[in-house]
Amino acid sequence: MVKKLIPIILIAGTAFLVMKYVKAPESKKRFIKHLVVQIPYLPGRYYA
Amino acid sequence: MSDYDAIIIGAGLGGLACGAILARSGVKTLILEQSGNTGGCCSSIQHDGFTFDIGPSVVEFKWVWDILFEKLGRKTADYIDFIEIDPIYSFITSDGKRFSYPADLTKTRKTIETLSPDDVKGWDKFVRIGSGMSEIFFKSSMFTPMMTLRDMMIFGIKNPLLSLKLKYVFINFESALKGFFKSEAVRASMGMHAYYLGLPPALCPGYAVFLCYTDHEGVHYPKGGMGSIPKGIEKAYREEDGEIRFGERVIKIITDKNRAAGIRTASGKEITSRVVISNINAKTCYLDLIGRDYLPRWAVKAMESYEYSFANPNLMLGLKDQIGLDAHHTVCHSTIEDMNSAWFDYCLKGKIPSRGFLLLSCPTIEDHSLAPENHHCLNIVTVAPYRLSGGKDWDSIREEYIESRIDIVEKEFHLNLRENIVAAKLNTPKDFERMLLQPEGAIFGIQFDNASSMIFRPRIRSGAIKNLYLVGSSTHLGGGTPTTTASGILAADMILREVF
Ligand SMILES: Cc1cc2nc3c(=O)[nH]c(=O)nc-3n(C[C@H](O)[C@H](O)[C@H](O)COP(=O)(O)OP(=O)(O)OC[C@H]3O[C@@H](n4cnc5c(N)ncnc54)[C@H](O)[C@@H]3O)c2cc1C
Repeated sequence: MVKKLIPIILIAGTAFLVMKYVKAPESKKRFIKHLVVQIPYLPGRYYA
Repeated sequence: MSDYDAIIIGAGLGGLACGAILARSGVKTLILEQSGNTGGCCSSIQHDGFTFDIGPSVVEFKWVWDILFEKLGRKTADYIDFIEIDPIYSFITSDGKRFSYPADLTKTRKTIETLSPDDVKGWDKFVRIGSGMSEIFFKSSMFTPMMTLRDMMIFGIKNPLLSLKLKYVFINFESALKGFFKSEAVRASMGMHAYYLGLPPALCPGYAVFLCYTDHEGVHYPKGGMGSIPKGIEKAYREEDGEIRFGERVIKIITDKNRAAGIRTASGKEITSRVVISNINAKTCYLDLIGRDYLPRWAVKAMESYEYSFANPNLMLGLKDQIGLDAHHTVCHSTIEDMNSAWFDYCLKGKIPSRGFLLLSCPTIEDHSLAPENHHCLNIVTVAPYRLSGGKDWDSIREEYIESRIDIVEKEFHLNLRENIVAAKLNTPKDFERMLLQPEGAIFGIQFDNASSMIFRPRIRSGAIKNLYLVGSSTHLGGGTPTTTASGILAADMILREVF
């Protein structure tokens, strides 16, 4: 039961965040976008 | 047997502070500096009888030098003569209005009240939270290495108040300001502090707004010019038998089985040491001086991923008369929108902004020794891109740039500048790159956002190469005179604990 709920919660959570992002003012969008594009680099940066 | 215990590449503030503590502890230390002077960005030059600061114009957190000199068994005042600056800022608006923020918090409250009575409550709240944040964020984090999640957790446990204020890490500067102040004019007067972290208000982390508060804990200028700070540390370093060689450019960090073992200079000298400390840009240190072939793949990728910080052309003018400025620092008032636009619509597109960040610094208001009698020094600092669009380059637009800055100051802010100029010198981002080997003239090394600060900034103790340590603007604490000095203190303490 719990296992079945996890994907639903994840999808709902992502949808909620996307909605918030879409509705956010331009300045907040820029802030978030600037950080999100750097996420793939964080593990390497952490160990350097 | 190594030639030296420690070799430091670069005599910037970070390298000097680290070197002085190591030398004091009996560590045989050599600093190699490619230029003919100590100080790097924090230097002063002589030009046509004037002493000009090439980079920073004031310092915050003077207590960092007090801690450094205490560790050296000395008193700051015997080495650097700091003068307190008051008012901290004066503002000129394009319709000719002027106002100032004095160091005294109550007096600044009065200024805020005149600008926007509705914002007095916000100011009181700002001061309350600001004093807490100053303790936690700026004072405690200054001497915490912050290399791992464990470091961060310990920091969090020691500073439980931080968890209540964590939101300021996750919102931008602009939103943080909106949480305190209603009036656009008040917000605009504080917006420039985002550029103290090298980012526009939309991209800068929210906690930086509290720099507008910490300014009130004291802003100082060293008598004799900003170059007096490194000169003071250099003096203490030499007194402890530390050695400096000028005109020595390091081109290689020699490694042996992933361990730093010494350096090679451009003149072909190889010098061995037990530890190597880099005070240069972290990307240059790893990708060029160590070299991609000697680094793990992940480290190469991580270094390549960092963006250089922004550039600050610095126009230095000698004036035959004061042009009516009220303070050491005068800000040509711009809206938050202008500050963001300077970044997004201009710098990122290779264009030089005409508004958005224009700082006039007149150090001769406090220190007359910098100019001939009755004359003054004025620095005009703006944000600008390193790469220019339309096939232009900085060397070819020198005159055009100088004229355009003078025009803005005269036409938009009504100051009688042109006819008072008796000397002029411009340092473009390209000049910074040539003089200090700082790629792209990046004034803070690499960018300082949440994804490249704290645990995500190149570590003080290298994670990729043993016995390699980093100090200065591209490691933890980031760019700025106190922060780079503190990075040197942190690194020295770590080296003394771990190696000697
Ligand atoms: C225009 C401008 C305005 C600023 N305004 C302020 C301000 O108002 N307040 C403030 O606190 N901070 C300010 N800063 C930032 C502050 O000056 C810097 O962050 C700080 O001084 C950097 O110190 P650092 O230890 O990183 O060394 P750096 O100053 O970067 O020095 C590095 C040294 O290494 C040398 N070097 C480089 N490559 C080699 C090599 N291969 N071999 C040997 N030597 C090498 C260079 O010549 C240089 O001397 C400003 C900077 C600039 C440029």
